[in-house]
Amino acid sequence: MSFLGSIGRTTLERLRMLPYVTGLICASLSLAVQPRVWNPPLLKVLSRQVYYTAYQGIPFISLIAALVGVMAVIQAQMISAMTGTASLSGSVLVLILMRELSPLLVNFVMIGRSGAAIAAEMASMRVNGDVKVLDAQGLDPMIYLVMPRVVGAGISVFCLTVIFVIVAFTFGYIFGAMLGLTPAPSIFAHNVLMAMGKADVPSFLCKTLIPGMATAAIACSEGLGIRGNMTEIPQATTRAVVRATLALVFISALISAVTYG
Amino acid sequence: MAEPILQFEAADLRSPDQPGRALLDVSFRLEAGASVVVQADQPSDLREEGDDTPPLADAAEGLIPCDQGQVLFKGRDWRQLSPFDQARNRGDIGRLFDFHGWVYNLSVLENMTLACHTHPSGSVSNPESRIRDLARRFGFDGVPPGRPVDFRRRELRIFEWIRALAFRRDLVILERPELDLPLSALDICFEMAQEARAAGSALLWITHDVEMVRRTVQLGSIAFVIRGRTWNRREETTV
Repeated sequence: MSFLGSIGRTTLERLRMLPYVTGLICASLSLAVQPRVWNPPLLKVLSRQVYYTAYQGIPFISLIAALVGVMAVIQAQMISAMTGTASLSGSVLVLILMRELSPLLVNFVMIGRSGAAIAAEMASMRVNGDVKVLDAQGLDPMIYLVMPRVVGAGISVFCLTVIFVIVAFTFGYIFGAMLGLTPAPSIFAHNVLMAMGKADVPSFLCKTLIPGMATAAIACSEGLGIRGNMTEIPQATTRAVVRATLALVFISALISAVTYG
Repeated sequence: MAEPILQFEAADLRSPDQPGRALLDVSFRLEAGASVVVQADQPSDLREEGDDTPPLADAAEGLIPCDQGQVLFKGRDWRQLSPFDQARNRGDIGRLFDFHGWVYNLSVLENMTLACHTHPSGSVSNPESRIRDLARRFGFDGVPPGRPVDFRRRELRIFEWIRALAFRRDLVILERPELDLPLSALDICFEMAQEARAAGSALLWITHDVEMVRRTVQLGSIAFVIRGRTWNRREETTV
């Protein structure tokens, strides 16, 4: 196959994934809103997913957020110096942190921590025969395995991003104050709130919930899609991470273009 | 004649993962409270290591479709049911698995109550208490905490028996019942199976062990034998 042909084939393969992942997310959401589906074991799976992805991720996310907050202040200071603004305005931090960086970084961390783990777990369950055991007992793998992970991942990314933004703004403000760049806290908070536009809220929701759910959907589909050979587990995990990263960048760019373009 | 719980009608069964595991022209019916034992007398060239049981249990649960004929559960062909109804019907089936019967990222107790919590029947208000009671028959003080990897094979097998028979099911499939069990525990398992049968469950035993076939036939099971890929009614006098 020619070079161009191989590029075309790879692109088509990636594009074929799009409706499949979209379908998985839609199916998960349509199941999640049906009360008859929910039972104690399923709630336990959902709470475990949120616990592992969100709660256990808080220290790591907070550390990154604090460092990013400091970096953002330094960059904001440079921008302020170029534009001749005397003090650090909230709008620059909103632009840097809230709109793009926070959802993107949290999703990257989520892919590395939980996306890979979900794919490996699903693939192991498939290889070990756990999926068949569930199916044989009347537990639909789509309901018991995929749906709570997709929903849990979306919730987790949203919560982690909120925490990320709060920590980054707090540390950014403290660092700016140490450099004598930030105004009084009330003015800073006012500036930040004023810098936020109407589109920021839906954009923030979409950039956290959709890529989070897409990561889990891709991880589940890659993990459960293997044929049952142990050597396929690392391959499925790698594929899930690569495809989730691609999906994240694609979704984020699309939402930015639609919201702010 | 009462409607059978499970009915195979000239079904050709083939495992999708292992085409060698095929079984042709299977026909039998199993009513509530009845018992059928299938002796899988397959020659070694049709067996695969660790997974040499015919795909009968999977077909009975509608997990694999049949190439020809049909498999009916409570009068309905599995293929005509929606995935949701299939899952609900499988909740009415207890199963002692051939080789691997556990979800390894759950505790043993969670594994044992998973189906019961997902498909609550109303007949058992406290599944954990019921399981504890049955575990005491085997000398356990309830189910110890821990995941399946923390247990010995023999203990897991006993808990798998308890899971299959603890709650009222329309059908109970017992694959290789003799596996990993001492005779004393097997006697208790047979008592539990008879209790389930008396309560109206249909039992389907699948085994390679002639002694096991003899025991189940003594308890009133109808015996079938699989030779190679052929399905035959076993002459009970030869058991």
